[in-house]
Amino acid sequence: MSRPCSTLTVVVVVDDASFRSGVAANLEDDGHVVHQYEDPRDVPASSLDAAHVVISDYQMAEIDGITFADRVRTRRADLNVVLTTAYWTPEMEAEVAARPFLRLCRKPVDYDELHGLAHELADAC
Amino acid sequence: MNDDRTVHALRVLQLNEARWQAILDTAQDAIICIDRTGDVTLFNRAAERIFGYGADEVLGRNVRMLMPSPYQDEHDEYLASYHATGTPKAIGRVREVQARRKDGEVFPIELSVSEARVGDQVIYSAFIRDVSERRTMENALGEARRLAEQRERLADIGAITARIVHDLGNPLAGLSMQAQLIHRRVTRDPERPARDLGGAAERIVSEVRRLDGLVKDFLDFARQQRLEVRTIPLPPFLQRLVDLWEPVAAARDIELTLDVPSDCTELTGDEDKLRRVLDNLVKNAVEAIDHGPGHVAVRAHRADERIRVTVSDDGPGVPETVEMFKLFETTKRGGSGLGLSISKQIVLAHGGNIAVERLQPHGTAIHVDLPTRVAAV
Repeated sequence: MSRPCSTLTVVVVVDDASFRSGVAANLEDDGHVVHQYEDPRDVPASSLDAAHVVISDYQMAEIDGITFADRVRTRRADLNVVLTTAYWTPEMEAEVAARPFLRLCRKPVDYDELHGLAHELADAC
Repeated sequence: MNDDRTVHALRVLQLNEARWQAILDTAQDAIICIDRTGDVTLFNRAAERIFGYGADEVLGRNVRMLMPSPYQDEHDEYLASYHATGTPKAIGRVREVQARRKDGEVFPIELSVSEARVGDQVIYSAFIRDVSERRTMENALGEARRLAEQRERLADIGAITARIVHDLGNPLAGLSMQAQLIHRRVTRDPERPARDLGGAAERIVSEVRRLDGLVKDFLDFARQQRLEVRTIPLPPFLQRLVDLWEPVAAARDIELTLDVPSDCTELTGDEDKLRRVLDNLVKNAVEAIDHGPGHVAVRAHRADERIRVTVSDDGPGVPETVEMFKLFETTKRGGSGLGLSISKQIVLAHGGNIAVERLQPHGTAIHVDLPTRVAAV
């Protein structure tokens, strides 16, 4: 989808309030538009339609990040997703690697790295 | 006439001989007879098969040739000791010992020995079963079991590690992101008003508390429960619990009731730890209903030398698939799954028990059974 040069619309879906609000506030400080949700099931299609990139969590209480990312792709086949995780295994990395639209970002997350990744994936969409 | 008797007696003897030979030949176990000095007098076909010797190689030789050390070195002494004292070591029981084949292989056998005397002659008969295949299978089974247990332990350690990393990593990630927010704002605008940083600072403090709580929970779970036992007057103890939670419950339109019969006067235990258990149960019950109308009941009941405290709710209930006291098992969003595991440890340390009952049509009751008298731990 078309967008102004460096302003992103980012959907942040993370069930941990502090991390979610921290990511959102940092992105907003950088001038991006952020829609944040605690529960992946609450994300409206309109948010995904407007998004340049999605940031979510690998392990969430209701739906795991991979399942959510697959649903995102069902809605928008060109939308890429960053999954953050505090714990990872080679199996998880393989699972993510099998989906070119996904990137894994390890917690604690360096905001600049996350920001760069969001831009990279948004540019690719 | 005498000749007839002799012929008849000979036939009987021949028949008996043939019968015994047939039995000896078809027996699956080795049958070996020795005389008083240990020389082999009988070596059946199964013995030939098991030991690898032909009977002609063994008959008349000492049975020690079929034994490995130390049995080989001690056998003469056994026989001498038995002849001198009459106290048997092997006769009349089944023992598992080792034997040696012709090719030198030492293998496990089950050995039973009987004794027969005719006049001053003595015959020792050994019945020998080769159990090497069974032992190999048992060893393989034992090894497979050991490996399975090892794998299970490693899987448990893996699951626990994953959970700890996840549970500690999430607040750490939140804390880090809020700290980066403050740092970036201050770097970008050193004059930025403090109120713009207050929310992030508040979240950092909150995350540190969360981390601290988690670390304490893990420590509580890991360390042995040491009890400071004293007498606890039950009615005021439970009343304080209900008083603590009553405002929270009322705010959610949940009725919280207490029922302590007059025979439930006191119990002994660690008051702080038992309060923690019951506090956790009432909290879970209130959170299970979430928003009322609903009812949480705390009831005490005495049976012999035990007191049962039940905390029940009429919430949606817990699925059968959920093992409530299993480490990390939780149905609550953001729950650590440690609370009920720790509660169970505390109750078990009191010599008590904790159990879940799924109520019909819906709801959950947790029964805490405690002895009225607990020894100090």
